[in-house]
Amino acid sequence: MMRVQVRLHGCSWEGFPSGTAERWVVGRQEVALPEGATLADLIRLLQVDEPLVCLVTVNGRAAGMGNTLADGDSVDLIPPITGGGRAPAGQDRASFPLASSVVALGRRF
Amino acid sequence: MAGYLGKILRVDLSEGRIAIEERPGEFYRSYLGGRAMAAYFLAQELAPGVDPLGPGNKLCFLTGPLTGVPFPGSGRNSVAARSPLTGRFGESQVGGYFGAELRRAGFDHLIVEGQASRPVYLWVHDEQAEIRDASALWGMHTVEAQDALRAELGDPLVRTALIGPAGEKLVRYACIMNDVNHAAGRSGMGAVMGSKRLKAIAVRGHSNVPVANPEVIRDLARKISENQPLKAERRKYGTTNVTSGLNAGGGLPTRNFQTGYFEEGEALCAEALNASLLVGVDSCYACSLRCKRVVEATSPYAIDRRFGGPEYETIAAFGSNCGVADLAAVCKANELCAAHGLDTISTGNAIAFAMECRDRGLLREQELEEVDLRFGNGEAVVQAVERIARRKGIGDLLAEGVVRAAERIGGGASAFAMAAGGQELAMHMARQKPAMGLGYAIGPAGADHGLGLHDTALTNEGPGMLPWQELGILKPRPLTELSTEKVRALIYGQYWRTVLDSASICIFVPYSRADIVALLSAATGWNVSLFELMKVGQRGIALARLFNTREGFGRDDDRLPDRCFEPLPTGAMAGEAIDREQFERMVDAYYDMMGWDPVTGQPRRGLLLELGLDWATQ
Repeated sequence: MMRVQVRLHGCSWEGFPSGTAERWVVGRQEVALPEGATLADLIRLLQVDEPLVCLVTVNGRAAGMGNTLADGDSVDLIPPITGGGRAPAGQDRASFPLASSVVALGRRF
Repeated sequence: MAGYLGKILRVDLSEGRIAIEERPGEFYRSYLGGRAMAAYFLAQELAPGVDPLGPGNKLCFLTGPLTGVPFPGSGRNSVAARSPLTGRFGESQVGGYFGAELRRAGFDHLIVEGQASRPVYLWVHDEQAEIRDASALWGMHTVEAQDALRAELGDPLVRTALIGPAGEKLVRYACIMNDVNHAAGRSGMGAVMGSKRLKAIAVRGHSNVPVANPEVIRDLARKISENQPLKAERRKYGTTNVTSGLNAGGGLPTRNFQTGYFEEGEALCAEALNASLLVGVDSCYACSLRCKRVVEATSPYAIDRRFGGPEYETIAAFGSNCGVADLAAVCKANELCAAHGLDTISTGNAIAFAMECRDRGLLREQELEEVDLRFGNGEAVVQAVERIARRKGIGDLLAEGVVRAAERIGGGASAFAMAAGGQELAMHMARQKPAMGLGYAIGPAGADHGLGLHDTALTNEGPGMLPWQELGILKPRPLTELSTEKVRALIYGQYWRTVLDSASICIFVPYSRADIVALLSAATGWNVSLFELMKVGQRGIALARLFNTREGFGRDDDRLPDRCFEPLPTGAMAGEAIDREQFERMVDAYYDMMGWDPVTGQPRRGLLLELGLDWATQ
């Protein structure tokens, strides 16, 4: 097993499903993963609602979902931060299956 | 006429004349209120070339058809005039209680014209208005002035919109404070008010705003107010919880936008604020979300809780963008801005500009006086805010805004003036959010994050895309892509945001587009559609553009600082830069899509006719 440090960052975005705000902005947490695990594995393990992840960094650099993690890595999961503006509210949401969006984002980097 | 009182209060301070104006229902339906109506009044009534600080400028306070109707998000109003900072269409959105109270006093809008010969204030109450002497208030900071007004009027529930010493001294980015702790921050509206020698507007009313279908409004208000997790999150963090994510994502403006990652950023995060200086939360009229911060301290700085607390923009402006990791200094700077009436974004940006100029040897020793303007020096930030407000020493130079200050400093200082459209950039990095950068460059009021696209909102499949899909933006786009699809999204976003800012409904209350259509229909009794509302937004942007081109601004003025085209040196977005040629292509594409002439920049005749603006084609 290896251990990585993970942080879920919060935002004032109403696309956030109700009840999860407290989970985000909780400071860094340590997560144990099998050797060779990827970012996608980590997100699955954390049960993070993937459409909420706009950007992922590993050790401060943008990374894709296929990125293999290493012991001691520091991971930041960053939601769609709009700041003073906003994405207008969509319909109420429950949970979504793993979408391809973050993988597509990963190709960007 | 449901949704409106149907009365516009006109006050001419030169003549001491007060008049009440009425207009037909079509006028209200075409412009709603807020920004779109501001664009109408400025384009229709201001003489071309009017001096922003002269008697010919008009200062408009505009509400929407739902302002003062009791539901979350209805405590907003707009303030507009020709901007003394940018020379362009100037407008700022603000919350609090003033707008709601103005409506309860019987007026939808207030237009202040002329210039008083001595300091005055306006007392608006129950369908009446008086111009009163404000000599004793002149020079007071905002809380002192509000206390004095309430004492003089004998009513602690009087609501105010007022300026501090910065507005009196015509600092070009002075703001107007609603109820002391809500700022109409951008565009220098406080300087316009100061130029008219109008210290304050005090309002009090006892009427209810008539609406056509109160049950619909009550149901939507209940939906928001019963959403406990939403309320808990807003109360706990307000806007401050974006700081850590922006920093981790490489988009936190740092040391005058030199990079997007602040090494000491953790010290500025929401948790740090909550654990140290936060002592409470505050609200706007009838809002259950209570997202406003309230901070207090006794040392190392005495910070008075009556001035509220910082938003994200303020934390980044005085914090990371000045290289400062000291939240106490940031909160003190915020308090001083509320007391003196200064826009925190432009003030922080101007101080960061001075710090970089000092670093690069562009400021002489005598200009630096006793303020040690080094990046990272929180005490210097606090001192600089006071000097700007009082136009003392280097503060007098910085009070002109970074564009004018850079011209006076010379020696290439303009390269470090982080402004677009004459206004200091807001705290969102164009190199992380390129469509935001495009919005900065071509926005009607200069760099205004409220009219830019947060590219981060458009990156993922899923529920976040649903409201975009309602507008025909069907697919997510990569974060740093600058494409015609992004330009479309920017344009539709600008129209929609102008709908909200004309209806004067807060963007932080999560109403869907369908909710807004329902709310406006319920207020007015009109069968409003999304199509019709988007046309109101388009009308507002077109008229603001018309105003700007008449003042001589065109395609050559749609610029971003050179820094935005240079690779970010550090952080998660290291290496990212906006491609200059692509940027220029996308400005051209924006013009084409907007129906603006590529040479003159003016909205084309056909567009104006299609928007029902025949009068504007003359």
